[in-house]
Order: sequence, then structure tokens, then C-alpha cells
Amino acid sequence: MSRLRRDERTVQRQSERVVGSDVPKIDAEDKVAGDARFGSDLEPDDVLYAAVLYSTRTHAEIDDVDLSPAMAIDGVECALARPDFMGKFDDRVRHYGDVIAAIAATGPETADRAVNAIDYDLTPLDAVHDAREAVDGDAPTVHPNNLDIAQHAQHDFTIENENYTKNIDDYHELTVGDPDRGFEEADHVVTGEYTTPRVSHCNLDTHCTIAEWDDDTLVLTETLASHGRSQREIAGFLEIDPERVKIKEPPSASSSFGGRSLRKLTVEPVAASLAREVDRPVRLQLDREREFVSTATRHQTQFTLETGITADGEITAMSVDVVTDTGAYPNGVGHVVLKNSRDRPLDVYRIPNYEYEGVAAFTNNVPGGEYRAIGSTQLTFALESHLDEVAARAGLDRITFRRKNLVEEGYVRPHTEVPIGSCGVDDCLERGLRRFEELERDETGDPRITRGWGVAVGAHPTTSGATSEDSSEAILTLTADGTVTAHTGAVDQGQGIDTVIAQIVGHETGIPTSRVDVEPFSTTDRFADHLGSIASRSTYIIGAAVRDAAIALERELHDRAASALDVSADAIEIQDGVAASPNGEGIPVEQLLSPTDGDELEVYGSASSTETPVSYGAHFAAVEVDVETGDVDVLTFVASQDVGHAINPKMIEGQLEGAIQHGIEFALYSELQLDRGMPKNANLADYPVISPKEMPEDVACEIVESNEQSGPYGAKGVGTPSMPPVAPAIMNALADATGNRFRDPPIDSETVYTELSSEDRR
Amino acid sequence: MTEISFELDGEQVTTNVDPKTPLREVLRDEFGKKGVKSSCDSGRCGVCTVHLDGDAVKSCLVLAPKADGRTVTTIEGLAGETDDLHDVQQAFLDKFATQCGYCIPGMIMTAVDYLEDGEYSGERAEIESALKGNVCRCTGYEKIVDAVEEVANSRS
Repeated sequence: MSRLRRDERTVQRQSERVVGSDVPKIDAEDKVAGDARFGSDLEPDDVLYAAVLYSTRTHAEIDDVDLSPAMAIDGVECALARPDFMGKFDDRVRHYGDVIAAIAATGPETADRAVNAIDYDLTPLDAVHDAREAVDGDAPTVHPNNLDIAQHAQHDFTIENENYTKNIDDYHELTVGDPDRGFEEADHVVTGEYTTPRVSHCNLDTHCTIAEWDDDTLVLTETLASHGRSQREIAGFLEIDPERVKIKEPPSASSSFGGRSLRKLTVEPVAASLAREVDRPVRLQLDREREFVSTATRHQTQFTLETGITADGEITAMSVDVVTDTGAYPNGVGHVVLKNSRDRPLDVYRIPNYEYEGVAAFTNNVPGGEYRAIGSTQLTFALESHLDEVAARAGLDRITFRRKNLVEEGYVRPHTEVPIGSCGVDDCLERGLRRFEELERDETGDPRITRGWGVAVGAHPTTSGATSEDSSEAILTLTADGTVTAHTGAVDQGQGIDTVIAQIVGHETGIPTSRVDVEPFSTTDRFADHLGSIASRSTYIIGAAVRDAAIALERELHDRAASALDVSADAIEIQDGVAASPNGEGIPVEQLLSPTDGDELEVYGSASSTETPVSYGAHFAAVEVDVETGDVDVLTFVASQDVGHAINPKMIEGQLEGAIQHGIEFALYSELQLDRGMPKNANLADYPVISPKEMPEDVACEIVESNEQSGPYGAKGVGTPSMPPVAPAIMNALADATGNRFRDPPIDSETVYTELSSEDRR
Repeated sequence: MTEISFELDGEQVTTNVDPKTPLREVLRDEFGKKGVKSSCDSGRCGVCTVHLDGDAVKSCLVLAPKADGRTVTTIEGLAGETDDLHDVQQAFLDKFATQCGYCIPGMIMTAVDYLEDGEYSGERAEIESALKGNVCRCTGYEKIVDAVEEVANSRS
């Protein structure tokens, strides 16, 4: 019992100086010095370079591939046509950027030349490029054999909707209460249709894998945030045992935003097939165009929303209908889009009567994939735009209307039996609004300029919610040089989880964070955290496992120091890596290693949670529009976000500011434009990513702490939850400024100008 | 093939190149300067930015023979012989300007060029204009601008 008391005291004392403070990022020095080495910087001596022949058709059968002209080129070691790749590759290409054949050669230029020398014949097939058309019985079939679909089925479903008969990736429906009666009881019923764009992550470091076979084991060196799932899916596709796939992280992980969570069929299985054939490591890197068309984008999604409210603004019923474009290949993410679209309205608002139907369809478009707050980003844009329209129809104030219907702590959502744990959404609104008002500007007086403001509330769960329980493990090793190395399931793609881990270790043990090293995703062989750094789970569940291990290490060190210094364990305090007794006698922790430890003291920790705590945000935007050009400028943005507990406030600001960037792009700039599946802007000269000029002049972050009981120190996720409210806050501000509702982002200046001038004509 | 010689991060180097090779490839592949990054191939992103005779250039757009007889500085040589970081590097570290870090070498080289000519106001809008040819995907640029602003203020 005395031990427990001691732990509590230690935690309180140290939290003041480590957890909760702006500890500098432990990887920053390497990064500013130019010493960080990413996946694409690695080129082992005996590596061969892959080049791939990509399809410029969106749907075709491969009749013939003549590789002999390529093989005749000096330096070409291997050439394979798609049907001869390992695993489930068949003889069809299903989207622009799909794979027809591949080369491995001694140099990248040779490989490129060899790809150009390949002769091939394709027979074009009828293609479908719209998800609504794809589900119709007359549509072309994207997957005739359903072979590669089987591995992705995440749940059983039966579809009663007779309009949905074909090319179905996934389907969800839900009814809560009595929606018909709810709509009857309403004083106002408002309907709206919204679409969201196909957005690319535009990670600067393009996909690059090095595949190598060690006997029957495939070793892949690349940034993949979700090892276990990637192992399973790559193995499933290659038709080998998942144990035979190993993933090694490069020294520095490349950014992801979901783009590197999972395998891509155009990358790992292709490199693996070549490497198997030549029995040498093969490096396959995508160029910029392939990064756009051969990986994945955010799912383009179409929404129809209907909401009924009473005269004083109480929601009586809501209906949400979703059609999302899975694109050419399944990856389980269509399911997540549908599930998150289904649950998010119920996570944020009290909706007594609710009906939902969502379908994900295969098309011959570039595949949809994971992207920061999958589905929630799309749904929240639609929902928060819609609720502004609902409030306007009923003549209600936008904030008052939302507040009237928001969930709160303890509320039992109708789709789950679990009461909401921590819920800072009302604080987010209140503090966000206060900050936003402080930043309000004087009117310009310029008649060309019209201004408006917008607010949006949003939410996203911490942990994927894919399973009923999430868990993680961690091992800490203390070595004779006084360094602690953390082995965890985390991958630091820039979000700062390694620094959080170092903070937690330092906080619990009294060893300085500067003496904590974090090994990137070292868990593959050692223990089974299969999910990795996705879904904003790292701090929450991996952090909790690290904390458990760190407490075990701290206890062990206290006990050993107590015997060494001949005092009780209670009396020991560890500071700056030195265990000290009350009389001032001290011993460095590394001297507490005993001969029986071998070279190091190893402790294990674990954590599990059945909760999927929701992180809330309320974001505010002020925009101004030049009515003569249609230019939209975001002047002010306030991101007020409930993070549970801020372990490193500066890094949280970094997450919020990055979300603002991606949200502005979603609202006003970025879309991979496809014309019947053919890309129109698959390069960074034509595809807009924003510069610092397009960021708001005033950016403010309000960090709200709701103390999530199931999270370490009360923390929950921030990276993904910070994304959903951004775009709708801007779009609501744009509607406020112009009096015109834009429902199909991204909205460029030409669209704004056209709308405003056609309004003038009326 | 053309022989070129230039000063690279304080060292005199010579190599033979295909005259159509971008400087970036020579720096990365020939001389192992992997701190010079590679991304868009269209001059938009700026991750490959280095200094040519002290001026920031996108090394994917400069053909290698252009460097002949000149001085090339990459992020790896920015701090010179000292073990200390350059003050712009230090400011990026202090201000939490790095996330994944892939854009950072190019971003710092552009910022150093902006700060070196002495004719800057240090106002945020001006810094934003100076950095607009360098893309970062993680940070929303806020803390990057903070870092450059801090150096601008401390030097003035």
C-alpha cells in the first residue's frame, strides 16, 4: 500500500515539469541539421531499381505483354508482366495508374528506359466513374471474380435497397427511434445535398519501399504506420503466411496523414514480386504523378441530409444518406467512411430519431484511402453546412442552436450503450468564441470587400473503433550508459509521439527526457500491437503502455536504490537520473543495474481500453471575399480543441495548425480532378497545395482539457479530430459573407465570382 | 559527359556528369548529400533548395554544369565547421517548426537567404512571401514563420 502512495506523489511532483510542458521535440536537431534519413534516402549497395509500366486506361484487359525488348537492355535484371506477379494480381487494370508490368534494373534510368521499351496490348472495357452509377445493375463490373474483395470484408451486410445491386464495397444502415414520427413532429424540415472532393495527401516524400527476401520472409523497408494490418494484407494478397512479412521503419518516418497507414497494391506486392524473381533487394519509388494516381485519395463522397427541428430549435429527427467512391480496389476504408459518417452526428448532437444509409461502391477511379479523420471530415463538412442552413431557415442563432442540441458528459448516445466520458465541446465553443471575438477586425469600408464569419463543431474518436478493445505494449530498457530505450508500436511521422513517449518516461522515472531514445515501431517481432500510429491512438493507448512500463521501471529503481542506500523505498527520489536518499546520498540509476540483468534492465508495460473517447472541437473562421474577383481570403481562424490533457502544448498547436492548412485546402483549393477517371492535375504545378500566404493572418489555438479518465494523464487524440471542423467553419463563413451556400468544395475564386455575378443579374 | 568542379560545403569536389543531370541528383547520388531532399520535380515544393554562391536555388531546376567553378552550400554544410547549429536552424528547433522534417532543409536554406541580404522588414507577411516557394505539409507554416521572425528580430 505504501508503494501506491509513493507513485501518486511522484506523479504529481514530476508532472509539473515534464508532462504538460513544451519539451523540445527529440528528433528536431537531426531534422534541422539535415541529418534525418527518410525511406527514399536509403539505397543499399546491391539494390536494384524498379520501374513500373502504369495503365493510362481506366479499365482494360491485358491481352499481351512483350517484355523481350526490355530484357534486351543492358542492366535489366528482371521484367514481369502483371499476370506473373506473385499473389492475386489478375489480367485486368482497373484505374489510371494501375500496374501492367514492372522492371528491375541496375539503375533508375535504365529501368525507366526498359519500361518504355515494353510492347503491350490492352482491350478497353466499359468503365464506371461515378459511385451512384456504379451501384446500378446496368453498370460495368469492376471486380468480376470478387477474389481480392474477400480479404477485406469487415462485416456481414444484407442490402434491402433495390437500387444498390452492383459493385458494392460496403454498406451500413441504422435506425434510431422513429424517424417518420420525428419528422412529423418538426416545425421545420430542411434538406440539403453536399459533395466532398477527392483530395490527395501530397506527402512530400513519395512512396518508396525496399523489398528483400530473406529465405521465405519478405522484408520491406519503408514508413508504414500500421504494421500488423499491412502485414496481414500484403501477405493475404501475396498468398503467403503473415508471419513471413516483416516491416522495417527507416530512421526517420515520412509524413502520412493516412497516406502511409496501409500498403498500396501498386507498391509493396510489385516490389516483392520483382525481388522474389531476382533474389536481390528491389527499391520501388513512385514519382509525383504516381503518388497522385497510384496510391489513394480521400474518398469522394455524396451526402443527402434532412433535419427536422421544433420552432425553438430542438432537433426532432435527422436522416443521413451517403454514397462514397471506393475507387478501383478495396482496402477496408470505405467501411470506415460509412461507419464514421453514420456515427458522427450522434457523437455530437442529441438526435432522438435518426436514420442512416450508406453505400461504398467500386468504380474505375483512383482508389480511396485513409486520410486524416476518415469519413468524419466529409460528414462534418456536410452536417455543419447543413445545420447552418437549418438554423437560418428557423431564424435561429447558429451558436445557440448548436448549443441547444449538443451532447454532454454522461449522455448515452443511442448507437452505443456507453455514456460519454469526457466532453469538452461546450467549453470549446465558449472559449473559441471568446478568442475569436478578441481577434475581430474593423470593417474595411471597401465596397469591393464583403466579410463573414463561420463556426463549426466536429468530433472524431481516439483509436480506430474498429474493434471492441484497443491495446498496446511497451518495453523499456535501461542500459549502462544511463539511457532508456523505448520499444513501442509507435511511428513518429512528425506528430511528435516519440517526444511524448520520452516525456512520459521522464515524468515517471525521473530520468531526463534527453536520455530517452525511442525505437521506431520495434514491436513487429516482440509483441503484438497491430495497429500502430493511426487513428490518433498513439498518445492515448501507446502512451498508456509506456506509462505502465515507466511506472514499473521507476518502482524497480526505487527498490534497488533503497537497498543500495539502505533506506526505505518510500524515501528515494529520482531526479536527473540520480536516485537520492533524504540524507543527500545519491546513486546514478545506471549504477543500479545488477550483474543478473546482463547488459540492461528491461521492463514491460501494457495498456488496453474498451473506450473510444471522442475528441471535440469548435472552430471559427472569418473570411473576406473580393466581389469583383471572387477571391476568398481566410483572415482569422480559431481552432478550439478538446484534447483531454495537453502533454506537450506546442506540439498540439502544431497539429491544429496543420489541420487548418489541410482544411483550407479541402474547402477552397485542393482536388484531384478526374475526367472519366483520367487525371487532369496530377502534379504539384497544377494541383494546388497552399503556401504560408494562404494561411490566415491570425491563427489561434485554444486547448481545452476535459480530462479523459481512460487516457494517460487524461489525454485523448488530437491529430485526426482537429481536422473535421476546419472546412465547414470556412464554408459557413463564406456563406455568411456572400449570402450564397456553396455545397461542393473546393470553391475557387471563379466559382465564387460566377455565383455572385449571376446573383447580381437576378 | 562534362567535368565539373565546385566547392561543396567547404570542400573542393570534381566529378563527371551528363550535362542534363539536375544538380540535385549530383548532390544526392554522387556526393551523398541526402540532406538535400527530392519531391515534386517541377520546382514547386522547394525541398531540394541549396545555395549557389549564397543564393537559394531549387537544385532540381539547376543543371549540374551550372555549378562549375562556383560554391554550393547544402543544409549539411550550413553551420560550417562548428558543432553548433546555424542560428536559423536553432530557431526552427526552438520554435517547434519541425514535424516530419522533410521540407525543413529546403525551408531553412530559403529562410537563410532571405535573412542574409539584410534588407528585410521581418514582418510576417514579408516572411510568408519569402517562403511561399517552399511547401510544408505538416505545420500550417505557423511555427516556421515564427522561427524566421525570431531570427529577423534578433538580428535587427
